Amino acid sequence: MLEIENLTFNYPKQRENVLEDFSLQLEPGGIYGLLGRNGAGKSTLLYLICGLLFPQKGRVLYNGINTRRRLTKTLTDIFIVPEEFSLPPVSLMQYVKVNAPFYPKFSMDDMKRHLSTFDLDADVKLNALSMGQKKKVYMSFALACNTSMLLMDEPTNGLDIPGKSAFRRFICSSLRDDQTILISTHQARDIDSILDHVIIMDNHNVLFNKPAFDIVSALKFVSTQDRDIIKSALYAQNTPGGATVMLPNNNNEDSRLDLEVLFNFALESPEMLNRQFINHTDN
Amino acid sequence: MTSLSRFYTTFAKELRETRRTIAMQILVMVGAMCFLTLFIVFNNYDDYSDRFYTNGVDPLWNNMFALFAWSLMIFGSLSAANTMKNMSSRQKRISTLMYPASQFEKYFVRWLIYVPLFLVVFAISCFIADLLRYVICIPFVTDKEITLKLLVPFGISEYVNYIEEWKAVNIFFMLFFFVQSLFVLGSSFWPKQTFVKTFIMFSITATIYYFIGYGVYKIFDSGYWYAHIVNNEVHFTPYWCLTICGCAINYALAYWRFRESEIIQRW
Repeated sequence: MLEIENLTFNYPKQRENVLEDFSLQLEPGGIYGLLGRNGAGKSTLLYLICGLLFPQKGRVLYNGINTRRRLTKTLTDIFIVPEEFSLPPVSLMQYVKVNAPFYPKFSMDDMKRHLSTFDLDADVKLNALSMGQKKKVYMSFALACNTSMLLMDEPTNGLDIPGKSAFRRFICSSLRDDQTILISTHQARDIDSILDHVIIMDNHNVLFNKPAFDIVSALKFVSTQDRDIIKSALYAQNTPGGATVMLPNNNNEDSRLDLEVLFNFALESPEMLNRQFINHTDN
Repeated sequence: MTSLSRFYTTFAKELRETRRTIAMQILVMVGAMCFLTLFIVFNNYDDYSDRFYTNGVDPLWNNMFALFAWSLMIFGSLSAANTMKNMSSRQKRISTLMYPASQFEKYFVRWLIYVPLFLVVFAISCFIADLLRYVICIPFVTDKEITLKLLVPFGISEYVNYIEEWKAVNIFFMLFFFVQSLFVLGSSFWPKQTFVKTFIMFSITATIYYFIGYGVYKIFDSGYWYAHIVNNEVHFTPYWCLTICGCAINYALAYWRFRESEIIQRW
């Protein structure tokens, strides 16, 4: 389990804290989506979780151990796929041969399966790959390590359209019950169908934190051209020919979570959004 | 803190992933030493005439020893400056700090490759340079004995006998090991442009200490200690102990700096 306790962090020469008294708990199992504006501190939070940055105050505990200590038993169980990363000038098989021994749960079969999901061959030179291909390779390796915590920063950046749907398939098919994946992204549409939990950050802290099931139980997302519905909606986002609206789900109807609409509404009226869940619980 | 199998895995990872860079650096070093050896041989070929070849001492050895000494200092510093090159960019820092080995293992493996293993590679380079000298001189210098100097323990003993002075050799090696440790320390503070920044910092610091030390000596000493070192037998053991302590402090500071590293440079 991951516990983030009262984190305060700022970068050198910056007056304002990126995170202030930030607290969060992630239970084992599930795919968490971390959303926020530019500069909200999403990537910073991921780096703090891994122990790549040290907070000014507070701490991050992973299974009771402070990640700042960078103990090997923590590092074998947390893997981060950053937005930008470097790979050495070796072949993929050589890379796997020298890095896999560090991860006791690494599976070569899983690696080959993930590579085939992305239509990639195992016999490649890493420095001959494009950025998108390197990302696919790195994500394949990350999932094949079978760590309990996998952090991904903008994983769909640089992926082509088939790559994005392959990414969704590959995350859903590989997830184990005890594995937690935290995905930080601006590309809401790329991941809204796979999330179990939504976290929205703003103003140095958590703005919204709810399971996806609770969100679609309390709210419904509808595309409509009906002006009356659009007028009465909690939030409406114009689309060609109409709007996508968010309404209270009073009749327990099924709808698909629209992360973009939810995110925009959360930034606009966080109190009203949170009130919907209280109202739904009361009902 | 450390496990032998994980240490071996870390060592194999570092060597495998940086082998091209290391191979290039070795080639440059060997190439430079061979080139300078050729320069020395062709410019000093006349030294093999009877005028200079006295007491059976190879006259080129003087220049060769100077070549080895300067090469050791320069290439040793350059190699030490690469110790923390794996922390020179944000992406490399993420990669280095996140793989599951202890911070000590990560540091020690890099230190092992760029400090003691460098010395082994350097010794081989010296042998190659000396072999080149031997191969070139043999066909031309038929009336004198040309030998591979480095088959005799490091060739130093003959040079030392020639100059009858162990002091310079001791002082040189103490200085070399200390300077090497300074460049390792510099690499942990400035992973980018380590050699230049450490050289500048070292020069400024050495200059300040020199003037402070010289000033103190001038005020308090009548020249006794200087005359004592120059004229008398000096036991270098305490100075070696000081050198080893100095090096150990630098390496420990470098490790501490690496251990406290983040993906950003705070200071």
